[in-house]
Amino acid sequence: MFGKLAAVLLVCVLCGSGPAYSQTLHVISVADSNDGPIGAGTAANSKALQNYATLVATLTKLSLSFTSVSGDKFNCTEILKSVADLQAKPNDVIIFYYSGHGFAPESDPSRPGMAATSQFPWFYCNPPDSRPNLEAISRELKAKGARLVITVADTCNVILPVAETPLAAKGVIEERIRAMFLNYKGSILITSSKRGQYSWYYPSGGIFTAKFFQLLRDPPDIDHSKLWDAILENAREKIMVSSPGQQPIIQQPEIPIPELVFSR
Amino acid sequence: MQSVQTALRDAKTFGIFKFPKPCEKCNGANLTVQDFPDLPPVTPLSAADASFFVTTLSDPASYVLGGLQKAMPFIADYGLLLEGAGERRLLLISTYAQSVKLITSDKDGGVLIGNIDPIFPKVKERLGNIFR
Repeated sequence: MFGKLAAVLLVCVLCGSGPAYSQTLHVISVADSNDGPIGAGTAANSKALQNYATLVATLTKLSLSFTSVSGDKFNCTEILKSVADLQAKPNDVIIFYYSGHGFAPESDPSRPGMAATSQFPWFYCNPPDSRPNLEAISRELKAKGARLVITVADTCNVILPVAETPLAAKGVIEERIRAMFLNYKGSILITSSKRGQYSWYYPSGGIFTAKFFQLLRDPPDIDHSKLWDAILENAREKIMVSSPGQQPIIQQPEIPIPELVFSR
Repeated sequence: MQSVQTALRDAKTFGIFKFPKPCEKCNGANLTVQDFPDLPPVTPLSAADASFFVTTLSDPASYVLGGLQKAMPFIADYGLLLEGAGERRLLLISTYAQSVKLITSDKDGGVLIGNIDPIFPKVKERLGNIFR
């Protein structure tokens, strides 16, 4: 009897103090990949996200759960279902990344006649009466109780045509990425342009996404407790979108100060 | 871009119309003129207005080039009806997305989206004057 009890207790102790590999990195990648003008760019965004998530999972020993909502599956119902179906444990990490058309309505689609209160975009998907708002998605994901929730949209509310930066072999950069995903608790909400601004895509991907993943792949040499602050401060800077022979167009990401707690 | 220039060059008559409500259908892929059987009332363009649209929309400098596109649906609110050489074409205008989209009788014949940000203020002012 005592032996059985000890065994159960031992299992519980092992579960409770589980190493990083018992935690999950949930990634929901939404990409309007069938769209004519930006479909190729959104697919490139999703590929960049998948590559980065694989890297993070490898470095942190987090178990990767990657859900793709793209191609013929791209619609409001599937997006909302992917969020509703996600189940997280307290030490998990969630990344939601939307690449597609977006808009800033005058009135809230879910409350006709009421002014839209969110500064964050709504996704342009069908059916029209269930178009999700990025901030609402963030709230729903935060309610799942995961340790860290990162909600991002690269959509209209401008892409640096840069090649994906290969991760430096230096262990020090790997250590920073581990810290970003293992030592922080809280949530981050990001959209690629301020209300009233367009977000721009090349066929190779969104301009914001290219810059953002460059920052995520090469975190700055800074105390680990300031990593996300530094990355987001850089990501918040104006993006100058250059078109041949014309004045650059400005796209400025909207990134509120995140609710994050760092622990070593 | 070239197909827009061709459509404008080939047109013999120019009409303009305003959608009574924003045209969400205009965001669809592979649209043809057959998808628009009931156009709003079309007003013939004056020679000066026709010349303005032909000149500005035929100029490559009027467009954002280099493969850039916006993550913004194409919801049209105006359109040009271009008729000539036995063909009818529509050049849809979205003041929301600041862009144009050519619709022909061939579902593969239209351009995707032309972003007219460099000349948008002038186009908006002209549209405002026409529909005053």
